[in-house]
Amino acid sequence: MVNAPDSRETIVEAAGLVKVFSDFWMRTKARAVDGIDFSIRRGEIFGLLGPNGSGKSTTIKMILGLLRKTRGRLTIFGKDPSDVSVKKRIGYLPEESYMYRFLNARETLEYYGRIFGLRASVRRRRADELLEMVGLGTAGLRPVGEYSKGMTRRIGIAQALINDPEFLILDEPTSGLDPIGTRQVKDLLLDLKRRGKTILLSSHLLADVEDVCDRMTILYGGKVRASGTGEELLRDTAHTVIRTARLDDATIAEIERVLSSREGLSVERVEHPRQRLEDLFLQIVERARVEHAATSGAASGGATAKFLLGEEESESGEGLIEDLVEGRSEIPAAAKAVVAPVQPPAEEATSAVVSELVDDGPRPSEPKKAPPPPAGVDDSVIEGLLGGDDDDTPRSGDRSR
Amino acid sequence: MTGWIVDLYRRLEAWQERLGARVFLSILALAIVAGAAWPTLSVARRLSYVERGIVEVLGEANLAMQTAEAIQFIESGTVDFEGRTYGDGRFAGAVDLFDEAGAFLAAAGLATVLAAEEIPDWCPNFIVQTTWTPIGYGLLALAWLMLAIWAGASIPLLATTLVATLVAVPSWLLGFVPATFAIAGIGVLGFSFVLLIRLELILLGSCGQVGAVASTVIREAVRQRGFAAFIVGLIVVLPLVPLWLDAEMPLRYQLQTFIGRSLGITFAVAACLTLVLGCATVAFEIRDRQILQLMTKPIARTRYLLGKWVGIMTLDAALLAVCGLSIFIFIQYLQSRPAADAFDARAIRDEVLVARVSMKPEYDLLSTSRLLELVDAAIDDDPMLRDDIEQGTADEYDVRRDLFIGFQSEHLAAQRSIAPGADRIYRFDGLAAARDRGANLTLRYRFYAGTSDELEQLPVIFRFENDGSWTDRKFVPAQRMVLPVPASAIDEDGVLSLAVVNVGFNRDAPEGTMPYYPGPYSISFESDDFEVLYPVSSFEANFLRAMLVTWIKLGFLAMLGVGTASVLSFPVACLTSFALFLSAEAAPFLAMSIDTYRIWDRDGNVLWLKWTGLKIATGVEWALRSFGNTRPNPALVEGRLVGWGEVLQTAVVIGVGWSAAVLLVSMLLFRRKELAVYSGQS
Repeated sequence: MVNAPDSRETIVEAAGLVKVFSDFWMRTKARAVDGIDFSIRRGEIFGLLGPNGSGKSTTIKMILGLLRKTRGRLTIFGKDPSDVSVKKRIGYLPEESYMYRFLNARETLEYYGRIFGLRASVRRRRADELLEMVGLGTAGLRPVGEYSKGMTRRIGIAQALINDPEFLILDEPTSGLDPIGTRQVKDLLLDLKRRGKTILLSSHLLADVEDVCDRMTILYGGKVRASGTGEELLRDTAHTVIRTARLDDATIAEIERVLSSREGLSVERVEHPRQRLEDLFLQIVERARVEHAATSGAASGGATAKFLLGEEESESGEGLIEDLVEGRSEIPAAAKAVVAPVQPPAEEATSAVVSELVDDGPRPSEPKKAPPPPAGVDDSVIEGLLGGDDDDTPRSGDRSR
Repeated sequence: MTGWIVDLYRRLEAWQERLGARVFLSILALAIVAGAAWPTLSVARRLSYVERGIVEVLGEANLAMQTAEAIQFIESGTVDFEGRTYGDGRFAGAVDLFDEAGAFLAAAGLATVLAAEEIPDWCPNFIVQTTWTPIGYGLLALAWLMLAIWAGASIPLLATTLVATLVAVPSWLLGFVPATFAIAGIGVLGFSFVLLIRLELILLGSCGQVGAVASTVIREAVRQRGFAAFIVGLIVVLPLVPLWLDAEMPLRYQLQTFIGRSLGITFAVAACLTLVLGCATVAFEIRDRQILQLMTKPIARTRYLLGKWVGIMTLDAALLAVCGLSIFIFIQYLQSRPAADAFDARAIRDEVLVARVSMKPEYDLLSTSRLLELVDAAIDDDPMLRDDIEQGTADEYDVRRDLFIGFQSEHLAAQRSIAPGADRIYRFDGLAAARDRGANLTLRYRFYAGTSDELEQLPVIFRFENDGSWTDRKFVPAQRMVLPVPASAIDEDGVLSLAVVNVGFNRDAPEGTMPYYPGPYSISFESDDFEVLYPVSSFEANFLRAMLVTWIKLGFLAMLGVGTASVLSFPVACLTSFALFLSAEAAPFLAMSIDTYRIWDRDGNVLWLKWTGLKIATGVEWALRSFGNTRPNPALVEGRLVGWGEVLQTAVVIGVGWSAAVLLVSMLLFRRKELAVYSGQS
């Protein structure tokens, strides 16, 4: 449970953080956060796990300055969370997307872009790319009030990214999203991580966290119960798994005999792994898209927005003219960040990798892309699911012997 | 069916965005405006020429000298100019239009009425009042069309025109002309509002974070049904106000009724919208938690509140601009209609569509020492009162104060009372400017006499001490009356000395007998009911200033709504804001109530509950009186000046002072407020 020393810049640091909610008469109503310590370093995806009421959202709201801490120390980019200037570097997706029902998606992004002081041309380009990315390209002019929950979630994700944030805080990002959207969010997080972005991810869906997080903290009752890298927390040193092509029963029996004679062990379980349901679902939807099947609502999301990949176009003459029209005397900080995207310090990153290779200690898990789906799928299983039947189809194809 | 219409609309919308289309539409607009303005300009020129000619003819008329022009006018009510006869029997026998020397009192006003016969039926009178008015209206129309074209609203304009025409044509064919104008008015008003909103959104686009928040407030107001209902309601109701006017009334009363009602409705609706929107836009954003998302962006809370305020102010500006312009144009139309008679025409010019200041006579005040002597004497002479004071059943301070005020009031009232057959001279000082300008002054008075029977007419003579001229009048008790006062009645020191003589003059008295007779009752009047007014500015400028004052008042209401909602929930914020608004508007009436409110029982004991209520009411009245006393609309109705001084004072006190105070208090509380709430189980 001991973390390896990490020389990367600390983005968020909490020490002895306490949040007590009181009623009107100043009587303690709840101790939502109770002396927690953690830090988030540049370039990592940090998971905040815990059941309902464990203090995750309260912690996030304190980081964002929406709640004031009762005691302890909390800094973000080395400053107090109430400092407005640090918010230029943050993107936030709340657990529910709170949108203006009377604005359409494009106006919503335009609004938040203006709050960040982005130039009109940059706002327009980013809005186009983000809407395309979250699959709302064709619904961009519809009032957000008419959106389904999933569509609202998508526009929520888009608004959190409009400023190309250095530090992204996502509270239940995949809530309300279909598997395609969920997969896309995960891929997006990994893309952002590759660009050196720092991400704080709070989720109930443990699989989501496991797939993408470098380090995580598990909260319960406002206290930290466990903390560390995925490898540290999940490594099973008591077992060995050998993956190979399918074996017949005789071979398995032979292997069991060898194990028994050499190591005195028996085979606990033999699995014939099945494809993940998520992969199967995505494959079917992709096939339908290729066939141009009609659908309403959000389309499947497009590729990650260029500006989030650091491929934004450089300053144009049009932009400069807009600067003059809008009376700006200097390029806003957020725009500067676009011109010179933040990268993790190369030297530090290299030295971290070298030390990991040299040391035999625990290593942060590599980001994993979901495996490509195999060919030849039984569509009837998925059709049953899409039909909304709440059957008890097992998720796992594990068979024990 | 609707599919191809929508498709066509979209195609046209796309087409109008092209530069070539805009240039083409601009040229078309220019051609239409020029085509309409040219013939009206010709009419205006002809009208102006005829007016000048008639003034010259009337200038030669003199009733005392029995000139041919004067005799023709008295006999037939007509005037000849360049071989054409103007006027009709309505003016026959109107000797009151001549002054004591036999000259016309208001030749220019009468010429305007007579020359109106030159205006053809197709031409609205108000467009050709001067040679500049067709040009002014033409430029206004051109600017409006250009704005529509270059703001990308040509097709909505076309659609609005089409729909309004489709609705208005049946009404026109059925002979409901006023209703047709009302429908057209609704269309024009609605579209103008949309156009202004587009323009404002473009302008706010370059105003940073405050502009961003303000733009969102405007979009919220025009897209949310609850708020849009206020706007639509106002835009629909306003053009219908003229339908409620009694066409039989003299034109000046029609004008005053229209100005009073339309401005009153506009202010009431705008104030309600401002308060509700101000409270809702912040309170709902906190309740629905959009603010959680917004406040994680780099925007300071002060800027957020300012943005909300700017948004509401901008919306109010558009609303007032559209409503104000429509009211103003309709006033121009109304005033160009034929007046009931020459007095009506003069009253419109000198008493309604004008900006006048008022001057009250100087009254003699008793000195403090003299008043104290009278108070002491009154207490000494009244043993019962003395006993009450000595026994403590009456508070000496209160008794002395009441006596003090009573003696002064009595002394002043005595100066406002004239016995039958007697006279009293009143001095109006500070009228040098009016004399130098040769302004038309008006004495406005309301006399009480006898039983104040409204059907009775009583005699009175007004004598101007400067030149010794006089005029006899009949007045109806308790009715407001006016008397034209020539500027020549003011002496070199700017003082008008006016004697009110409570006698009558019998024109038919046989020669050798006394033509004067004493009035039947004593005449008295209140201090506010005897004043001289004179014009210092135009109605147009006054109207603009009145709208500015209204806008500033709305600005405070906007800040009140935004401020209260930043710390209170929507219902509580609404209740608080409306309570303050209504208290402020009622402050002058509250002051009157406070003056007459008694907090003692019959035995002179203080009733503490009433005392507490009185202190609260007094505090509220003191704090809010500036708002309640700032009433531009009644001033406009009575043709009184809303000066730049008042605009500046309102801007400084209410617009800056009060609004800043509300913002400061709100900010202190709002900055401390935790926007997120505890959502777990306690």
